[in-house]
Amino acid sequence: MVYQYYPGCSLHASARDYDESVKGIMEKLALELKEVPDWNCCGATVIPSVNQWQAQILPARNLALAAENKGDLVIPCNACYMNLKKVQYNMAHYREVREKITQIFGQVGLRLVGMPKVRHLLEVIVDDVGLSKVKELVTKPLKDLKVVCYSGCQLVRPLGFDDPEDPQALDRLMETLGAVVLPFSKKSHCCGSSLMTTQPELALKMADEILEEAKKVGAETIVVTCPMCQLNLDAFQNQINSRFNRDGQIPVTYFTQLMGLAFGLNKNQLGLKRGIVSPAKVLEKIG
Amino acid sequence: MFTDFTSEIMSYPGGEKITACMQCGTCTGSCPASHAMKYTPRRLISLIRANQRDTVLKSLDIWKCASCYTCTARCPRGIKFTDIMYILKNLAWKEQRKEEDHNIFGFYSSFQDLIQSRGRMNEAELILRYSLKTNPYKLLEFAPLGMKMFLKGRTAIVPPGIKNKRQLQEILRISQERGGE
Repeated sequence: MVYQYYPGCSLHASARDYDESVKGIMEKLALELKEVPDWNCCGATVIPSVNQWQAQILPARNLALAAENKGDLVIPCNACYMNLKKVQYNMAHYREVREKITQIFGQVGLRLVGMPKVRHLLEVIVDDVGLSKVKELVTKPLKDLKVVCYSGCQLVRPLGFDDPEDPQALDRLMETLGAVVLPFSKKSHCCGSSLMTTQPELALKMADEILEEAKKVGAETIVVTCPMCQLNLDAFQNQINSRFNRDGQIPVTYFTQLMGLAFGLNKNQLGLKRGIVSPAKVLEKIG
Repeated sequence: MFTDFTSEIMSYPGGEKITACMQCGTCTGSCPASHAMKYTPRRLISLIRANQRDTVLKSLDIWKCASCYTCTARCPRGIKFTDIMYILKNLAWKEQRKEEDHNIFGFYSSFQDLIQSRGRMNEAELILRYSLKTNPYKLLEFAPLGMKMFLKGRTAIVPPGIKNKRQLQEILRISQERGGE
């Protein structure tokens, strides 16, 4: 299966581990991801806060670069996924938005004809590849690995896929890999996003609630689908522990890293050394 | 141009259903940041409907929204409150530049500048620009984590950017001229 691929900015820097593990598992899954040439930033949650027109233009340019019926566009980041889908929604529902973007793009030769369907990588793996195919590829089941599945917010809310309050896709995938999926009430709560920089007192509390429940239910790792969630949950545990008087640390891994591990890929291929909180110890038992 | 603040909000994509609010407070109860707000989502809707434009746009509470869309997912009247928060922030940004909160102004404008100049974001440069714009001593606070990220290979060595910057800058510029803000 061939898809267009929009990695998003994080995967080339702070989420290089996500990028590495995505590339690692693609061959096994018989997926070909063709990176959209010269893609730009989607605007995250920042640009929509300050300029609604820029917030349409930025994602729309990516849609134009991926247009002309070149196939579905796969996105590994929850926020990029939401932003690109939202522009499509706005173009379909608001004539003013549609006409303005078309007109502006026309002046520089960009066309939005035959726009791709926007899909999250998790959605493609669960719905297109299918869990039975995933199961066939498992050579090292994640036996006894206790996980909580954290989908984060923007993947599952209106316009997204899966249940907005109690998403299931990630749980089913992890079970297929042989992991023990623990009940987790924070699976679609917010990690705090960019508030971690502007208003850390707020974001640290949001991340703390997620981390604390994960530790309390006995998880060995939190599985994530988004580079923003990974960063906020992984990189600030020292600060959170001292601020809220907490103990212990918990590694935060991408679902693609655990898939690669279960498929028998080499740990170095999956960026597993890049976690601020190292997952090495809890993953020892997988071998 | 608008007779009141409610109709102004309703004129933007996502703001249409605000008058359906029955003040049940599901939004506020669901919001992970409302505990830190004086004007919570429910109260903000009430203030908008009472035409308290200045109070709403001057409140820093609107900048506490992390865009998690929980309020939108749960509103029993189908109000897209996350979109309304975006509309409020846009209006506040345009009219009352956030000098009163240096951090917010510094971060959002650093991000915007970075995207306009390079087309792609990179965390290290964003933090650098943000710190220089607000308080250079912040670099000391960010340094330990930045160093860890660097050692783990999680920072971009060469600042990433797109090739066709001129095209991106051009479409952003035209959108600005045509009624964009």
